[in-house]
Amino acid sequence: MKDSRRKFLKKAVGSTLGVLAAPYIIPGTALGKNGAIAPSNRIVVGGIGLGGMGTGNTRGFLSKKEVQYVATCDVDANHRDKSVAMVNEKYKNADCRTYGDYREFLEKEKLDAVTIAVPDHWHALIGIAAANKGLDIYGEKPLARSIIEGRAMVNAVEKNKVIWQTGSWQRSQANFHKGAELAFNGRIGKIHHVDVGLPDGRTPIGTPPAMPVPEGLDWEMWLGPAPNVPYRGVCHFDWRWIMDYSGGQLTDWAGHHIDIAHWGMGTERTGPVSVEGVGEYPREGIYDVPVEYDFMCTYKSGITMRVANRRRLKNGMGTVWHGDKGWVYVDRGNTIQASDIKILEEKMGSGDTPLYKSENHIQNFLDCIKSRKETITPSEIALRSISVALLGEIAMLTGKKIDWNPDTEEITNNSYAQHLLRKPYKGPWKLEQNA
Amino acid sequence: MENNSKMHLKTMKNTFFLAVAVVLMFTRCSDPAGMNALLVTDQSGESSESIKAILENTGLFNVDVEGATPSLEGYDVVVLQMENGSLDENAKSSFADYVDKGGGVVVLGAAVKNLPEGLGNPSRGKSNEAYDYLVENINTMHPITKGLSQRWMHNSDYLLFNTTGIDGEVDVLATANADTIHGGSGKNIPVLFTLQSGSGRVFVSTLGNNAKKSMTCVGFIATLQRGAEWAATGAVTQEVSVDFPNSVSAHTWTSFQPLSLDELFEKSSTYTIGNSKKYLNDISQRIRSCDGKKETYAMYEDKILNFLQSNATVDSKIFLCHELSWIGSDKSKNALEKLVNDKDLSDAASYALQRLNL
Repeated sequence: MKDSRRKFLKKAVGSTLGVLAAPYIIPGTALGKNGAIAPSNRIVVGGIGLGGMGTGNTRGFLSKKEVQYVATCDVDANHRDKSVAMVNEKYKNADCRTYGDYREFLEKEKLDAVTIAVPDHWHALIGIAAANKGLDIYGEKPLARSIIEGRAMVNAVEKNKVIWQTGSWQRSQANFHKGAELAFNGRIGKIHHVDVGLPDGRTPIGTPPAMPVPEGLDWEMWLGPAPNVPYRGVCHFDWRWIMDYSGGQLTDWAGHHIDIAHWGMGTERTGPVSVEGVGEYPREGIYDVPVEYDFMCTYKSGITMRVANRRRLKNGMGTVWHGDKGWVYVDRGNTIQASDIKILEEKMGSGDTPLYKSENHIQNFLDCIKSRKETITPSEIALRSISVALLGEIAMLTGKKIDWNPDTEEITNNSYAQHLLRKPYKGPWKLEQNA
Repeated sequence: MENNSKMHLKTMKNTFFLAVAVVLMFTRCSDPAGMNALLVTDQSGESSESIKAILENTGLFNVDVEGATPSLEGYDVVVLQMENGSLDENAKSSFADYVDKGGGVVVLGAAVKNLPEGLGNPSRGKSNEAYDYLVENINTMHPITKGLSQRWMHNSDYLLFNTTGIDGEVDVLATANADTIHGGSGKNIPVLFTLQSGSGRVFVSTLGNNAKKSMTCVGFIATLQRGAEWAATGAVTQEVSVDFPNSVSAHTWTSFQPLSLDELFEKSSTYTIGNSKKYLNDISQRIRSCDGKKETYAMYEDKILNFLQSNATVDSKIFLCHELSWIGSDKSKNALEKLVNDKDLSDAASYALQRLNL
């Protein structure tokens, strides 16, 4: 039943002679009495990964009347229990199903869309599996742990013609949109430099002793393609400080402030041509991501972009575009500032190019599921944001300047560094390269 | 004609003298231990020997060691290490004369109390314990601090509060935070600074108050070595070591000089997870900081391949397989393919091969 409805939706969209905006929402006659959408006509959603971000996302989806949230999946039974309780509480029933293995979840559930909020080292495998199932995907940033994985994911999304929204929700905030739009439209003149400040790294904790895996946690599955290591109490959230799973604050936040920087620079579908910088790595303990990082990217146009932990930058966190006629600065907390208040007060004119507008990130995804249009942060754009951080990581790990061809996605000056574009997988896990 | 040839002869003579002078100049500059340093110390044994070794390891100084009332004549730099007593008035006056005439002085640790006009007030005390604290170079353009990590972790030391409040009177190069947990005021206080007196130069480092633990800190060693050269000449020619600490981890040289690569591999060979992996990380840092030439990577590759054949621990071999995963050549591929069947190294070998086969 569900599958045929999906096929119909896609077919219907395809047959509207290119008028892609036609929503498939069922006419008013099919609505429930109170104006709510009847469950059979809602977008059927499930979630993989119900930790911190996953829970927040689920809450967001549950608040949307066109969503029917039916199942969750997590390697930790505690997460499963909490997520099921949250969903059932919302619908006042006991219908939510839950799984420990995403493969079983994808096999058994008949979904329209899935939200994925798992550690970075799992993004590619789960993202590609979901795309191959024809599901539309709301995937957390960063897109992937390596550029090769990220490209494979974009390929899978495009091959399967699924809608992808990245959790780069700052794009759906008015101040970030406005700042990027001003920069993009030359309101500060020709941009010559951009500063991107991301959080300072975590203080190392040494190496905690190996300990029993907590009840309910499938540690082997949590590790998945990452190297086998004993459980040491570092798992949820704090995986961010270990390079087997993440690149630290740098890669965690690339999908925010670097993403916004690219938007305003007009480089969101390309990348730098060279990257050079330094990272400060702990000498002891299991946390091994850089605690301080500072690198410079140069783009084909000559624009430079410095990405560094906040302590190293004058403005700290956020994105600053510097043009020959002024600057614009954006950060969280609705922050938007400019070298001259007039820059912020001027309205966009007919000669300007408005940037994609979304006022709610999840709603934008749901709208695009209906319209089959591209979301505000499709996979290609997410790949280009995280690529900056991953190239920075390679430049810092090798201690060398990296020349990058953003078209062929190759490091052109350093055959050694080129190897680091791949994050190897432990068997039997394999990346589906040409998805 | 005659005049002309006399002129010619004169020019030749001048050229000759000039050439000799240039040769002499270069000879002096390139003579590794061409300068004379005097260590004035009230310490004996390890503490003063450490400072002597640090100065000698620059290759720039011949070091004499003296007790309390020295003659400073003929020295390019005088290092004052005085943990207990103070200089007497005569000694103070000869120091002052020496500096005014262009001499270079380095004042270490508790010896700051000898600085004029209460610049190093000993009554202010020190931290209630020795601990690793962060030093921040607030002047990164000075020859002593130029090129060093801006924020670096100093190894296990007492923080002297002597210099609290002197910021306006000296050129502060670096500060540390006297946090309240360790009995401080919560303020940033100078730990490295310079003073100008007459035509002489004075460099002060209040670090190094926990005997060898603090003196083996690469940050302490490097700033002392650079400070001594600057005090002597006004410039610093020493390169910054790749071992200079960053803001996260302190770094020590137990023999006051860097370990050789072979020593690093040797010390890494016993690593097991949970114990210190600093030597392995030092190898990574050396690779990262290398010149990037093919032959250099090949040298590291050969050393790692030998290491994989040795009786080193599995954990240390796994760590170094990660380095091989990007610096390895076909030689590594062959070696790693054999290790894919090794019960302990199979995953690590496969990891490296996936990258090398990219």
